[in-house]
Amino acid sequence: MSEYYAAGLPTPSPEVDPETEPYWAAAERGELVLPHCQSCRRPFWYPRGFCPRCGGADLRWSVSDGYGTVHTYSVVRRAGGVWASKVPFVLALVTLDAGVTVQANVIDCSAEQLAIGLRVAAVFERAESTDLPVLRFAPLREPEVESP
Amino acid sequence: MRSLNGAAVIVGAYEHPGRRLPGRTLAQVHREVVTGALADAGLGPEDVDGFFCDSSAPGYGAIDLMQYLGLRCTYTESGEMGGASYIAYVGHAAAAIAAGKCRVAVISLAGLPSHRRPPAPPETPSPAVAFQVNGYQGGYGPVADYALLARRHMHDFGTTPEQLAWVKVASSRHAAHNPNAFLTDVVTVDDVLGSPLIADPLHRLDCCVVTDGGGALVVVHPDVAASLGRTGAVLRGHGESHKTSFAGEVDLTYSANRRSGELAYAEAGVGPADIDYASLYDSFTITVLLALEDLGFCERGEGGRFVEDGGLVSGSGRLAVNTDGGGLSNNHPGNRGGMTKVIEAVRQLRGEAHPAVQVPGCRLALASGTGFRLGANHYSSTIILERTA
Ligand SMILES: [Zn+2]
Repeated sequence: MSEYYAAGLPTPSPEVDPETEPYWAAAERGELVLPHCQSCRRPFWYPRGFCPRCGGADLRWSVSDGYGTVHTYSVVRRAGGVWASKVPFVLALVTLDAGVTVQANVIDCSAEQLAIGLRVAAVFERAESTDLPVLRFAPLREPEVESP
Repeated sequence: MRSLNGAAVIVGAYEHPGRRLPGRTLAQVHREVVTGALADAGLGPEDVDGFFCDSSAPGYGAIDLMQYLGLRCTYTESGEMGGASYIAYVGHAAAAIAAGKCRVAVISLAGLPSHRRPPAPPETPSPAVAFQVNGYQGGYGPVADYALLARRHMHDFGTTPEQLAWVKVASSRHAAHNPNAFLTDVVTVDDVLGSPLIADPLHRLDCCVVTDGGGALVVVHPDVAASLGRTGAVLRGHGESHKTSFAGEVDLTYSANRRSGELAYAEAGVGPADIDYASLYDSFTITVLLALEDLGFCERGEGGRFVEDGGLVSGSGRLAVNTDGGGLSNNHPGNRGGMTKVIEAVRQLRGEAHPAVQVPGCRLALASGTGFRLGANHYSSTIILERTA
């Protein structure tokens, strides 16, 4: 039987920097927004209140469709703390179609599906209502599959 | 002086023989290694006027250790570049010596991970922490981050788990000659592949050891070195760099070693083909593979073919690497590998490595290290050393 990497991973609640409020407000609604620099005309990751390429603060927080591709991944089989009981789980780098690469867990995924190049979509998860909605990715279901 | 080529000489190097040190304090281990390195140099604590440690030193940076050790310094540093710190500090000490700020600098590392809990996460976290809750800072350690690199290298270049395993096999063959090594059993490729997967595709034996201990270096002005009459290692080149997941642009196929290596080679006026011995950071097997490519010992993507079939074994391989057994088999004190990288390079240049692994006529050595997460944010430092006459 194939291994399955389920949802329900830990979702810690670090302090949120006020300059990233637009990101977290959207995450509360289940939407992924990316900061786009209006001078560079490009998005950047991770969110902050200015563009790390040019230093400009003229940003547009625009909703992303959340689609991306697994750039690389690892199935983690030994972990400590709150993660110890969650093995095996998947850590990945996902390159969003918007062009930024994000480190995140892939959930709701079987070992057969998991591969570099797998098409995924953003989902938000939180274990407790007081936690942050944490960005994760799940494989695109069949009707959703489309090329970037 | 616009270059550090020839600015300073390593005249003392000491690796603590212990790998499990119950009952010791961090300060005691620092004292043991500083005393050992000064004795190796033929100097005493009264000669020391520069002191370098990292942020894991007991107390508030260098000051509490300098008080404990009875040092009086005009130049100190207690910074943080992870395992790359001590290689970088050789350059920092040389720069201070060249500027006349000190003449005898001591660099010290001690760690006791077997009986001290790892340091708590920083009280003021990285600004990225809310977006990296899944990674290193999320509590399951660095292995998964390096596994991401290994997986991608396999995808891009056809590197195999067997090739990665050869890095560990070579280190174990060297460690078999090191009576102080934490692991002295020679292992095979099958042993590595048969060990438990920690973070796929990295197995337990793809990971470095966790050891207590430490080491120290004495870096001095060339005039001081000349007065000591002991073979030393003169600094020829030094380079530092860092690489981050800048703005979300991630390219895992190279590390900051590429830039730090270029800077060190340029300052030394040499290239990879001139290097007789290399100490390469080996937190994981993949770390070595990428370092070989980034430092020009082979082409990008060729690391797997370079290391297989004993490519890193002294005497029979393509390049003698980590002849003490490295972090994979010998020692990785305090989860920080850079110190032992410099120490083994000095042994090789002095002709004091174990005869079974000594590179005959070793004249030029390179030591390189990376700190933190190679897949995301990391430091790199590289130095090139030459045997003094
Ligand atoms: Zn910009």
